[in-house]
Amino acid sequence: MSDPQAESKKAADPLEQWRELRDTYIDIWAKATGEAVNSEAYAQASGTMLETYLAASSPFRDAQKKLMVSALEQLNMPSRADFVSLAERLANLEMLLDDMDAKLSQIYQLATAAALPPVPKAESEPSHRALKAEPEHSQPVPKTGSEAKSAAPRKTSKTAKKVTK
Amino acid sequence: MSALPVDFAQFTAMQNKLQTLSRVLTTQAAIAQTPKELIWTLNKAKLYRYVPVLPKEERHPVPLLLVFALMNRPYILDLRPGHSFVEFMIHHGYDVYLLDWGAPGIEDKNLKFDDYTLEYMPRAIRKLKAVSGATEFSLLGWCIGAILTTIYSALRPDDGLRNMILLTAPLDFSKKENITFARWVDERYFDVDKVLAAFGNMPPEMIEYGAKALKPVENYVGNYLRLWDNLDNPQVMEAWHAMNTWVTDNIPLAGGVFRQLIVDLYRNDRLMQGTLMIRGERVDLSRLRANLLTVIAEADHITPPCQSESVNSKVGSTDKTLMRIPGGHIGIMAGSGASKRTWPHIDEWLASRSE
Repeated sequence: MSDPQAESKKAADPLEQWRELRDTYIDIWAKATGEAVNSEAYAQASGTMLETYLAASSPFRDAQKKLMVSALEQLNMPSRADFVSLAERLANLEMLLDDMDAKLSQIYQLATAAALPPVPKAESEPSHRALKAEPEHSQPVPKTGSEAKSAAPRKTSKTAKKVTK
Repeated sequence: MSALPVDFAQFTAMQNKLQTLSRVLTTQAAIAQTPKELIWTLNKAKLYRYVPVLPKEERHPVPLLLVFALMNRPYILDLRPGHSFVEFMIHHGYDVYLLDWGAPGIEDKNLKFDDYTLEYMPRAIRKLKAVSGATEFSLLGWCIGAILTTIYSALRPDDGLRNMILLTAPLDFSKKENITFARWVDERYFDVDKVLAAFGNMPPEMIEYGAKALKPVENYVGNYLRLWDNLDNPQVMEAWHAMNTWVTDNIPLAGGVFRQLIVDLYRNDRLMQGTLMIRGERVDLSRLRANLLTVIAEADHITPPCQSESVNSKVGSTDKTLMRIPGGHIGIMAGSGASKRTWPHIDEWLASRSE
């Protein structure tokens, strides 16, 4: 049974009726625009707009790029292309180092296994060290009520439907 | 007793509302709070391990690696305390790792699916195995992350992958009439090479516009009306603030990947047709043998259900499950009902396969 006071308050609230009207209008509007953006005409129009923008901005972009490269050269400064080239080389070096690190770990493990009695393996990999602890996470997060609720039970609601198994 | 014509309580309430409005629109919410440590990096990619909360003997022995999309931040999986998939999983005994792809710079414009699946993922997984001590692992891929995990698992089926979960995975591009993005990037209207020649990488603003323009009224109007209507509801406000922080924190998509996504997948459906080539290897989905859970969001307008429905019939796995969850592309994992509608089902499926 509904609360008569709340009902009368709701009825007296002119904004409530306005909100209902607004939401109805928004729903109709959303449906119409959803259909519009899903049309060939929209795809064509947005493609044309993008094409026009790219064509119009391209000469300025190219000129700016040339000017900047020339200015940096005059100032004996490295250009973006130089940095890109360096970054690519660094990424390749990182990959090589990563492979070497993995190989060294493997060699270390094999050597350790051959020389010593077996050691516990998990979480004791010699090369593993946290590179950086995330500073903002140093304190344990306090459990809220909803967290405790979501973390504890293993209940399964019936909303999902398994189709194939 | 006030004889004044103005009710100051109303002014105070309005002032509080405006303060809340200003706060949620101009500040970043405290997101990604679950404690984690960085264990591996390569270029912009980072592999995190979430600090377990259960002792080792109570945890599942098979670790779980989360792989999110390339053009959004992965902290949607750990949105806020009390409402975080990561937090839920570590409390249910999983050893959880997250592969964060980072934001590509202009120097990464040539990165392709080839690099992400054959250079980055195998190395991250090698590190995961070394740190966890496990020889087998589970993968969870969401959105473009699901494309990456599918390609990887088809190309490297003997890498120890035991379980794979695909969330809202855009894999099948054959039903173009049902996929709005496919219409927008049709070769008659969209010149991918011109866009990449201009920008190098796909700019985050264009990606954000593309995602929002699928439902313009809901995203540009309805979202803010919902905010205004709930300014005095702290729970809704905190959820809105966290989600808005994530939605507005986009990153570029590497140009090489964007070209492959448009040309190979959206236009030519090469993954499902079995003609996608990665570093000279054909991606044959029948080679994928891991236990597979495909999760479909029934109201997904970004990856319509038709894009994920057929994958189970193409893979070589014997244990495969298709699950439909009510909700949208992001909502099924990060919406207010996710902790009841989605996460327990994933846990239930994965727990029995992680012993």
